[in-house]
Amino acid sequence: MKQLLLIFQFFLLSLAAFAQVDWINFEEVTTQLAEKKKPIVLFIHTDWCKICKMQEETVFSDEIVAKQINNQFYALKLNAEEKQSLTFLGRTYAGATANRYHELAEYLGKSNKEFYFPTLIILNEQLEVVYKKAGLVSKEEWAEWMEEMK
Amino acid sequence: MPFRNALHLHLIFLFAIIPPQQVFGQLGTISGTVFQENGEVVPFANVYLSNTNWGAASDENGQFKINNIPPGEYQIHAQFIGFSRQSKSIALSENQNLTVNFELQYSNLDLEEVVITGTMKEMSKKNSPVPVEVYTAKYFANNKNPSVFESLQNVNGVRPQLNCSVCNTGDIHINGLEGPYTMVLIDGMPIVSGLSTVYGLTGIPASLIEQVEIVKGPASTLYGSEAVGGLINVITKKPSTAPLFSADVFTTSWLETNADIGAKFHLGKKASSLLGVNYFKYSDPLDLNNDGFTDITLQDRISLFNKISFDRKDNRIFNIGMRYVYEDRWGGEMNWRPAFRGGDSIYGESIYTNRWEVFGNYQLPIVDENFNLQFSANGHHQNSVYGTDRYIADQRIAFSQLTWNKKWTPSNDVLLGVAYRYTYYDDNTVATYAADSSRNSPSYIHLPGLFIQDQVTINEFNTLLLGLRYDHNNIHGNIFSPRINYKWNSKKEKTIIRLSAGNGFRVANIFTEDHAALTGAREVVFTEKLQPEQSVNVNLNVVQKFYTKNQTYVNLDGSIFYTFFSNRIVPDYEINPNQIIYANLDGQAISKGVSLNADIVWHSGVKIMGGATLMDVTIEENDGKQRQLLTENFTGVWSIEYTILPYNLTINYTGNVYSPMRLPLLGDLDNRSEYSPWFSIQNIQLTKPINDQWSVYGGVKNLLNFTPARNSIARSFDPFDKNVQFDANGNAVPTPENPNALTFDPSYVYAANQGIRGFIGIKYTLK
Repeated sequence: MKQLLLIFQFFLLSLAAFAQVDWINFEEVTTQLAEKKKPIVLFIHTDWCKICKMQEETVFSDEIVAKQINNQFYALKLNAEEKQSLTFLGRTYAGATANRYHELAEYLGKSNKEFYFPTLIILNEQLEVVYKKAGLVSKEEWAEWMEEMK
Repeated sequence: MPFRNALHLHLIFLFAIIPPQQVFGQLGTISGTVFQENGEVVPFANVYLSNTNWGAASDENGQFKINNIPPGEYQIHAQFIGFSRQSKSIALSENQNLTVNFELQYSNLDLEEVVITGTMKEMSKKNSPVPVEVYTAKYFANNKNPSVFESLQNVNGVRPQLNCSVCNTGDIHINGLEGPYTMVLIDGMPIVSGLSTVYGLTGIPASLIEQVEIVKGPASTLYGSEAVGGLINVITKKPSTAPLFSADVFTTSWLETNADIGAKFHLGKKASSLLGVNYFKYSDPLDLNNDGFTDITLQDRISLFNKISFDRKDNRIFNIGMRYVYEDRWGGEMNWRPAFRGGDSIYGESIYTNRWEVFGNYQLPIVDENFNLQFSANGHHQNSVYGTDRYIADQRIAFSQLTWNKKWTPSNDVLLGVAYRYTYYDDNTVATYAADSSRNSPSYIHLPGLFIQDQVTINEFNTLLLGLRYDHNNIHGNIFSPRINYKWNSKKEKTIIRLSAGNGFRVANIFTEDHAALTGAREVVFTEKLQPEQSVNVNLNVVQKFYTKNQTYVNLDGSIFYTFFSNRIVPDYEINPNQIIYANLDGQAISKGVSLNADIVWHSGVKIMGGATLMDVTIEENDGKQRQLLTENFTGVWSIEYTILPYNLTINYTGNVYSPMRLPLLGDLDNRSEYSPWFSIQNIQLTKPINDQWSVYGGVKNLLNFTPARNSIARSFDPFDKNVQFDANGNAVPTPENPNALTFDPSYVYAANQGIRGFIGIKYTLK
């Protein structure tokens, strides 16, 4: 009976138009990767960037996209102006200061030495950068990427 | 779309292919651990032998093992994201189990992968209870201008206002409140005040901008009690994202030439320096309206900027910045030459400005505590003549502020601070004469202050910012300024409501702030000793975001503002047209209005930003209510951007529109219009990157060719009033030669006297 209820709940959830990406903590990635290898989606944003919000609200909230990200990737979200340092894949990166963005954001996110928001990066299972886009990734582009990743 | 990054493709095969057993003899094994600089292990690092398919990844403990390797000599490499690759030469003998350990260095190079750059990048409001609008350098580049002053014409509710049709000084009005109510900060410090609000704003090159933050209404107590109308914080470039070298030159069909050069270099291992040089020259006088006067003030200006940042332990901050501006500007009769400076034969207004600034930010080396010391000093020397009147002024300001930011509890983020500001001011006018007018008596103002601010996160949806500031002015005594800001947001922040309230306290320095006091045409009269002004401001801001299924984004941002002034210092131009009479207002002054900003971004890459402000600024005295002079009731701005992808050509169409403003007339017989017309300044700009280094841009400014009325300068043919007859009270009387009883007057000005013009520029960037 309990199982049936769970299944029913799951069914209801999957029907809901509202979908969202389950972002995980940077610290968790290492443990999770040790259990199961998956590629990583890293979304770099700032809290004042409109296109970033647009990315989240029009693309990541799309049912298909959210499902693909949640099932096939570890999803990470980084505010480039975050002042706290964080550890990602063994290395500790310093937080943002008045002089620069978060060290991890600078390291991974710059495009031709400039910074654009948002920047979306995909690391493959071997944790190498295979995609990087400065600017909005539309649903269509995302679908194309998914085709190529296959 | 192909795989953009083929660089490491070969690695992908490494893990799939296990080398087959072959006839090499007894196979060996290579194993080891991948460490990093600090002794910790590196999980998931890729270890491989070059020119082979053999490799493995380290596990979460940093250990790796590559089996079944035939004996021989190899190059073995370990590499991983975040680290530099390390390579070693090894020799493996038969059956050997070789141990190879790595110690990877942190990679400080930015990971430069092939990147796809879209057109939909980048601007909005910070997550603070104070409504802060953030405009990026890119936004201002949509309508290229030499200085921060001109760039601000693209921001809704903000109007750079020209105050003098001869010398083109300006101030920045926010929601109808004049320049002195707007605080201009550089990197959060009150560097632009007093004298430099008159000729200083054009001296801040637009090329310094990383971001401009604008607060309309009362800003946080952090910035003192003066910023009641609003605050403009110019954040200078971050050394980390500034290019190694950049050069940007543009010129207009009026031969206004602007050049910017920027360079970044390292000073030893621990410091980097950002250098910027801006040069602006306009030296070819034009008189298209045939009034005998230069249409636009001639300017020759150089500005140097240097910011040095030191790398410190634990990522602490230490920056020192320096800026120097020299400007020579003049306007006046077309045949004016420096030899006529100060004389009464040919009219000219000539201003030499010499200004230096030093400012810095140092985070104290205290473990686990965030103490920050800000300091700045600046000197400003202005040597000016307005016709025959000389105004020579000297100002020196020193400022220092120590803040301590601490999260007392998870929901209380407290900022404590002490500040001190010293202002020295001297000039050659009666303003700095002792009461008995016998000797010069420069003004010294000491302004120590204390403030506390607590940002209370009530829950996920409600934030409260409480601030209290106490300052002591050595002339006016104690000043208390409380501020309160409250923010409510919906889940996912699609709706945000902010309510701010605060008071302001301002000691006016007429001569440094009000340029009209200086233009020789009118005599300055003080009827009483001026009292400090006080104001109370309330601001309600609502932000609503919408997203549609077809990936369109709409951001609506509306505000209602209300400011009530008592003791307001009001210049009266109207009692006597030959005087400006300054007095504290007996009644009240009120500025109120609504503004709406809309941002719409389509998935196709079209971006529209538009804003409109409706306001009413009135002054009420015993004899009734009046609209404030030189203040519009309606303004609108817009900016539309589209990139034609196949050509990578970006088109920006920007503009603004202003409703009529009441203008200062010279008495009842003045035949000039009492109100300015509706007018609109519109610009088109095209930008085309040629390659990674070069881009060109150009366009047309003031497409509609709007210029103010030709008779804006009254009696421009008689600038020294030689043919004006005055009565016993000093009022001009009508004569056949002067039927409208006018005197020379350049203060009737509402827009730049500069019509349509083209411009073209080129930019070089070396990353």
